[in-house]
Amino acid sequence: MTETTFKLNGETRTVKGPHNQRFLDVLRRDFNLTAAKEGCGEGECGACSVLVDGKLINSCLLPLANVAGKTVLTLEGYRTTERYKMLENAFLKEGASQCGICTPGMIMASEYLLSHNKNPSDFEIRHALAGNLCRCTGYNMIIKAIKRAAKEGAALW
Amino acid sequence: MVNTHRVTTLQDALRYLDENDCYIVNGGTDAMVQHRSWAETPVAFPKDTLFIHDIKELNYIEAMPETFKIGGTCTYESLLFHPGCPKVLKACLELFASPGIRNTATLAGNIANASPAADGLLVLYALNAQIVLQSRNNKRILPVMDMITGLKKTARNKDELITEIVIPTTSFTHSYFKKIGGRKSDAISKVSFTGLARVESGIIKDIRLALGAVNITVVRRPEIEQDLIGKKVTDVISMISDIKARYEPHIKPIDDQRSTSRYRKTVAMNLIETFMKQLAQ
Repeated sequence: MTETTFKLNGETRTVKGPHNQRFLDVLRRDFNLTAAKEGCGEGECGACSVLVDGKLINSCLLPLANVAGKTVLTLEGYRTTERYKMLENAFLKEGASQCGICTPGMIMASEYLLSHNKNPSDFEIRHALAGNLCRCTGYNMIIKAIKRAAKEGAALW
Repeated sequence: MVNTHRVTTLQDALRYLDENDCYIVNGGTDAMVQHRSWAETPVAFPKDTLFIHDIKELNYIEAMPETFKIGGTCTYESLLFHPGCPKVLKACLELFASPGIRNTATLAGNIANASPAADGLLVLYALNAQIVLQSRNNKRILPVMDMITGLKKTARNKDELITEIVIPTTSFTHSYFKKIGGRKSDAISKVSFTGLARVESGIIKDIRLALGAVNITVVRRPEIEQDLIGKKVTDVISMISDIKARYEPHIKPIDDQRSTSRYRKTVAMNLIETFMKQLAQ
């Protein structure tokens, strides 16, 4: 049986099972980490977004083999950080979460953006969220929330 | 149930390819969708599978005065943020998929997949890119036009791996990339177009047009381009309808869920005209 070892939310983990599993399934089934959602299963919606070595990745397109030796952060790991709290507060204040399905992916995409660009413009935010769909279409509130987080949390990123 | 093997060195990859007939997975963004199975079950790759994305020695970008070289496991996001990335490639990558896909998808994978709608491939055609194919005992270099042999078909032998993409450094006075998709980002092209030209003192010194998603492979017609080289830009403007008529037989798009043949053909023709008009500006 194939073994794959990686760091998940700060802890070293080993998964026994085929390399050709989708990492999204491993997260949800083996680790009961259900923040990452399956929306489309083909990289269109971003609901399954996680950070791998600090980079935003669609976990539905990620074979388990490509996670070996990497450091993975899911929303469950991220939510203990100050940065998360800043984003959560900003999303709440701006009403940026409606049905909530897209929110975990939106938060991970926001973190990926802010970790590279502390003070993004509206255009840059829209660009960074290009792979995250919100079917409640609350995009303007999400953009406002990211701007608020960037402003109020300037020291965090 | 297929066997899978993951490698982290080029030597191991080439040895495995020499000894096994296998399907290669790089970043996985196309492969994982193409062979998607029932939810929560492993992806059903067609045969034994080799995972090559973690070959670190192929994860590089080398910007030299004469060439821009891209390693076989280098992702699109690394390319996009590299200061030496050719302008037209950068213009393409800004609209290419989404950050989450660009962080794992590779240019080498885009070539190997040989989709007629591959935006990366379109730009490589226009830039006269060369593809380095390596096997256990051999290494050969093919122009991208010879690498792609048909719809989703390439000249890669089963024991070979795309190890590098070489783009010759060329300066252009005109650089135009246009993608027509259902939305601005994260869309598969309905039609895509790349136009490059070097115009000096009103004379065309170099010109390249490439069209995507309008035939089984990217359309580039060197014989039409050759006839334009040496011409005055002002004369070319009056030749636009002739130029379009010469491209017309090669623009043979299909009807599919993304668009219609008629729309694609009309847009492709309009893009040729737009680019030719830009040359005079």
